[in-house]
Amino acid sequence: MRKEINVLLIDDSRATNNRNESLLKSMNLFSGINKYSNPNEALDFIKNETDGTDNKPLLDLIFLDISMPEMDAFAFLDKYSRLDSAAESDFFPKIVIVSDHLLENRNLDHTNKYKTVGVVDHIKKPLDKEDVLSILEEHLDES
Amino acid sequence: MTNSSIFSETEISLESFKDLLPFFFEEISADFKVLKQLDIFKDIEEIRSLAHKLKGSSTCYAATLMSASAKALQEYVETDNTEETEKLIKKFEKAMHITHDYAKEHFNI
Repeated sequence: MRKEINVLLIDDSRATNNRNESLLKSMNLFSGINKYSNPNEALDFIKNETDGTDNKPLLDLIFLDISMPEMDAFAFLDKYSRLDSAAESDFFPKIVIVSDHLLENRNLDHTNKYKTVGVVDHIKKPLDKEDVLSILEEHLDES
Repeated sequence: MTNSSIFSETEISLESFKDLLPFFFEEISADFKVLKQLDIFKDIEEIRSLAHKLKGSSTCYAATLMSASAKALQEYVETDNTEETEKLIKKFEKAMHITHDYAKEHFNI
């Protein structure tokens, strides 16, 4: 069972990132929580967040806001997919899209093309503990 | 005990919530200030985008009154009914003030 989980929060609202960070901290399951309100800065962070040997990302999980003015989640994923670390990631980190509304099909037809870069799920705001635990159990073998 | 028409229940502890609220209102106020300066005839996409952000962060902070007002604004701004859009912008501003006053009184922020 994984004991250390590094998570990245990306939402254009810094207040929302702060709130989600507080929620995740209270769960005592995360060893590292980073947050960015600017998706370009988040991409830079991901580029640098590799282990330096085989370019493997040190991140385990990303919560990605679907709608951001500078770059929405899908534009972000397009850029992310072109990173060396994403191409060699072996589906890590897992990426969860966060939005105001759940689409009818949780498998997300329109995100299927992003599954190869690690998109595993889609949850509704606000982020809650039940959803987080469900994601950890289902995608990170964590409980 | 909170007034559920203003704030609903949240999973964040009360102490953490109190710590987080001041920046929430600071960000909301700054975003709303930008929104008010936009042209409701020309800047429809910018208004919609900011209303979406206001709705999202209000939802995350369980600020139900603000969230509902922002949602109505986001939905209405694309209908070309500028009179109603103006009303909804004022309605959001009122909701923001009510919520902030409530938070100051009940959460001692």
